[in-house]
Order: sequence, then C-alpha cells, then structure tokens
Amino acid sequence: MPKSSKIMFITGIFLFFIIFFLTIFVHFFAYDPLLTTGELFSPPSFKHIMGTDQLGRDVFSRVCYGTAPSLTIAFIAVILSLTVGTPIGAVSGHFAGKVDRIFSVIFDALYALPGIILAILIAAMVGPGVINTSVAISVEFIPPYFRVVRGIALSFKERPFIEALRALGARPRDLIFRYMIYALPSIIALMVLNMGSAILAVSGLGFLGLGLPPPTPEWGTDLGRGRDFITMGVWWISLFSGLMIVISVIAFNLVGEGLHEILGTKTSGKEV
Amino acid sequence: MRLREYFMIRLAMVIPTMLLIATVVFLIMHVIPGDPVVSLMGARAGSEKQIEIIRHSLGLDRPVYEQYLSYMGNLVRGDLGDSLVRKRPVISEILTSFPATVELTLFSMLISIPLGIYLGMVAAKRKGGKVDGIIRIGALATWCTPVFWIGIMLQIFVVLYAPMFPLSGRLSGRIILDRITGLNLLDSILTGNIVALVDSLKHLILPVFTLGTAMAASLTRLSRANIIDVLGEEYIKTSRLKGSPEKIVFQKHALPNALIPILTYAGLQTAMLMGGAILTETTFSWPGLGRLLFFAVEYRDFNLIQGCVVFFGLIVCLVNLLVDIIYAIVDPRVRF
Repeated sequence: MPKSSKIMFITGIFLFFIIFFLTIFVHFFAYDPLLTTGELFSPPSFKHIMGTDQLGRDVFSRVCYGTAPSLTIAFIAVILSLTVGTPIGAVSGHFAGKVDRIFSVIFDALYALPGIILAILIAAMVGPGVINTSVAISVEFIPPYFRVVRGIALSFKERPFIEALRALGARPRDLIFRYMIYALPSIIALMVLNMGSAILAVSGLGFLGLGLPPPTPEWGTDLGRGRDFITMGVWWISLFSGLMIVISVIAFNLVGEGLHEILGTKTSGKEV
Repeated sequence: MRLREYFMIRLAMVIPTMLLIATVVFLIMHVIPGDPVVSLMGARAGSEKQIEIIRHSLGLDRPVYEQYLSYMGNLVRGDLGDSLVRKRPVISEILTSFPATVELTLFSMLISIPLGIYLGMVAAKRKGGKVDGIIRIGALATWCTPVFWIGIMLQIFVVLYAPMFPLSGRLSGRIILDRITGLNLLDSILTGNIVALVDSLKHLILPVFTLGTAMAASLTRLSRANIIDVLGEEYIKTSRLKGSPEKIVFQKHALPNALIPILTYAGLQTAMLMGGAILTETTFSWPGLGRLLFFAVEYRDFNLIQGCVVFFGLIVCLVNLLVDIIYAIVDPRVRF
C-alpha cells in the first residue's frame, strides 16, 4: 500500500478514535448541552470555548453531545440498508434472468431520485425521531449494496466449485449465503464509506428542520438554527457545528478508502 | 446497431422508468402510516366532520388502487394535481420555480466541470507528488463537507469582511425585470436592463460558488482516477515509444479517452446536483424548485411534494438519456 494511502488511513483511524472517545466520555469535560445560561450569544472565550447559542447553551457541549445522535442514526441507517440490499442482491445475482431484470430496473429507478430528496420525502411522511430518520436515510443507501453483492454473486455463479457444490446437492439458499459471505470485504468497506454519507444526510435533514426534535443537540439542526443569527455577526454556532460534521465524515471516508485498498476491493466509481 | 435505433430504444426506456419513479413516490406517500389530512391541517385541525369532508374532497377515502390509477392517469396527461396550500395547479408552481434552479445549476456546472477536470488533470500528471497530495486532500475535504456549510461559511465571510455581496434571494426588491424565459441573466440581456443584469450577477455569485465547489470535489477525484488509468494503457506507451512529445501524448491520446467515462458520470452527477441544489437554495433563499419542495414539506402540501419529487426524477431521467445518447455518438462500441 503506497505510503500516502497509509498516512491517510492512519489519520482516519486516529480521528475515528477521537470521535469515539468524545462520544463515550463526553460527560467528563463538557457542560450540560441543554443548560441555558444567561449569557446569550457570547463569542468563544475561555469559559465557553465555542461560545454560547441563542439560548445561552454552551456550543462546545452541544457539539460534543451531538456526536451520539448523529452517529447512531447514521449507523442504524447503514445497517438497515445493508440488511435489505445484500440479500436482494445475492438472490438477484443467483437467479439472474427475469428476477434479476426486475430488481435491477427497480433499483435503477431508485438511483434517479436524488438521495436527499428521497430522505426528505420519507422524513416528511413519518415525522421526526431516531428510527424514523434512520429509515428515511437508509433507502438511499440500499442500491450500492444491491449492486455490489449482485456483481459478486454473478461472478461466482459460474465458477466450477460452485457447480460442484450444486452437484453435491447444495440448495439455492446455501449458495446465496455463500455469495454474501464472499461479499463481506466489499460490504464492510462500503459500510464505512456509507457511514460518512449517512452523517451528511442526517445533518442535511437536521439543517432542513426534518431531523430530531429540539432541544436535542444535533449538528445539522444546530447549524440550521444558527443560520438565523449570522447577520448579527454570530458565526460560532454554525461554524463549529459544521466543523464537527466535516471532521467525522472525513474520518469515515479515510478509513473506508483505506479499507478498500487493504481488502483489495474496488470502488465502483459511483460512491466517489 | 445503428445510432438511430439506439436512440429510439433508449428514448422508449424513459417512459417505464418514469412510471416506476412515479409509482415509488406514490407508494412512499400512501403506504407509510400517518394521516395526511391531520398533518396538513396541523394546529387548525377541526372536528372529525371537517376532517372527513376534506379527506373526501382530496379523494383520500377511496381505495388505494383507485387512487393510484387516477394518479397515474392524471400524471400521463401532465396533471399533477393542485397544491393544497396555494390552491394552484402543482405543475404551474413547478414551472414557475424551475428556471431559477436551472440558472443555479447551469452556472454551478460552469464552475465545477472545468475546475474538476483541470485539477484532476494536474493531480494525475504529478501523481505521487506534493501537488497531487494537496489536490487529493482538498478534494476529499470538500467532498466530506456538507454543501450548506460551505454556503454558510461564505455568508459569514461576507457579513464579517465583505459586505458587498447579497446573502440571499435572486434579485433586489427594488429592481424590476420583465420575465421572458425566467432566467434572470438572459432576460436582463434580452430587455437591455443593465441594472438588473448586474444585480442578478451579484446575487448569483455566492450560491454558484457554493454549489460549484461542492460538485467540483467529486469530479476532481474521478477525473484524476480516470486519467491515471488511461496513462497506464498500452497505446500511451506506444505513443511515447514512437517519440511523440509528451504534450501530444497527453492532449491527443490520453485526455479524450479519459474524459469519456467522466461523461457518463455527468448523469449521476445530475442527481447529486439536484440534491445539492435543494440545500443551496434553502441556504440562500434562492427561489427555485428545491426551495419549493422545502416549503411544500414544511406546510405538508402533499400534492406539491409529490409533484416536485416526480419532476426531479423526470429531470434526472432526461439528463441521463441525453448523456447516454452523447456517449453513444462519441463511442461507437457502446450501442447495446
């Protein structure tokens, strides 16, 4: 693995651990994110490193406490899309023919709908909440899993040892299970990359007001609310919330791409 | 097969895809639990009787398959229903807002495509070097940044350091512009309205810069990867062994071949562009289709939501069609 890729991968892991550490031990070094002090809109200072927001809450604490909701929703969403996309991809690749064509056409149509639009549509229908938002985001990420697993199933299907297994009496479900196992490296790399995109999606919904209900601290929501105060010169709310988004997405992307190189899987170019 | 046949078949494929998209949207809107009428009325919800009356007038008490059939039937005739909040046909709301989005996305592409391809080219040529590293990191960082954050950062910068650019909207309130095409730049040129032209440009700068930069990130990574791949091909080696100067090798042999796959990516980019446009329009209060969708969601105007989403799908489909045709013209191997 080339040296530059190694550096990026290690950086990603490093950032990842910082974020992890942040989420778990947040109580020890941050104030209560819901606590309203009297000091509204105070700029960054020693007391409040990232300033306070429109209700006097410490922005740094909100940013730190916001890690858990965003990451949780993103994680659930990725698991959901994985769970739906992988089996369908394996089945579709195994049976090929008409079944494959139907599923492929459906997923191609799904690709035409921009991800955030799909998420907005579903979030608008089901309302706020952790599970609801996860579901809204997950639909957008199902097609990549479908494609990858289907590709692997198709490529393995014709191999001699699979034929041998069939001759020995393997049932379709055994073979389908096998395809999913062989797809595991690709799936894992895809999962990590998708986490990055999922975090962007969560914050996007939050920014539009469709995420978690207030006063839950969430990066996108805080960013969106902070927008109203920019003309007053209050830049710290939006800036720091957004900064956390950037850092965490970069972390997942670095690790994900590093995984692709290590595991030898190829990006299809569509996730680029 | 011949180009014309490919064109016909590809064109015919658009229709089932569109129907599928419309169906998916219908399913999402009608199968998910939640009472649309209650959501619509929100705090103004009245008695059960009132809710029933409204439900009946919207046709929501009919069986689902009947609603689906009338929905699809109306759709193919171009009737997307009426906006529940504004009482106007959805299609006219969409067509009023659409030119603004076209203006935004077109100019954003004007920035993102040259910038992305150029940076990718530079990075590929100096692969492994410092410049390559900087470009890669920059592209990655930009790709990982939410587009609305870029927009807000620019707004903050303008507020604090350069208060000459407008932060939102498309045209200052005091300027009057006759609407011909709906594209402000074009209209102001056509009507000779210099004041409006300058004003439109000033309003365009921040949003276009935001969306253009965001889109350029993925294009940079893609073109870099493609050019690197192409530079490793046999025919490039042959060209060099032949003694062709490096410049010719690059411009005449490598670049055209690398750019073709990037063209297909343009189709996918359209979906990303539409998504990014929604966020950008909301950030800058740009009165386009994205912001229309956002308001529709805020007011639970389901017909409008449905119409906007289907329209977005249509745009992406048509752009994909265009890209496929161009691809088939450029690369004769690809016609099925």
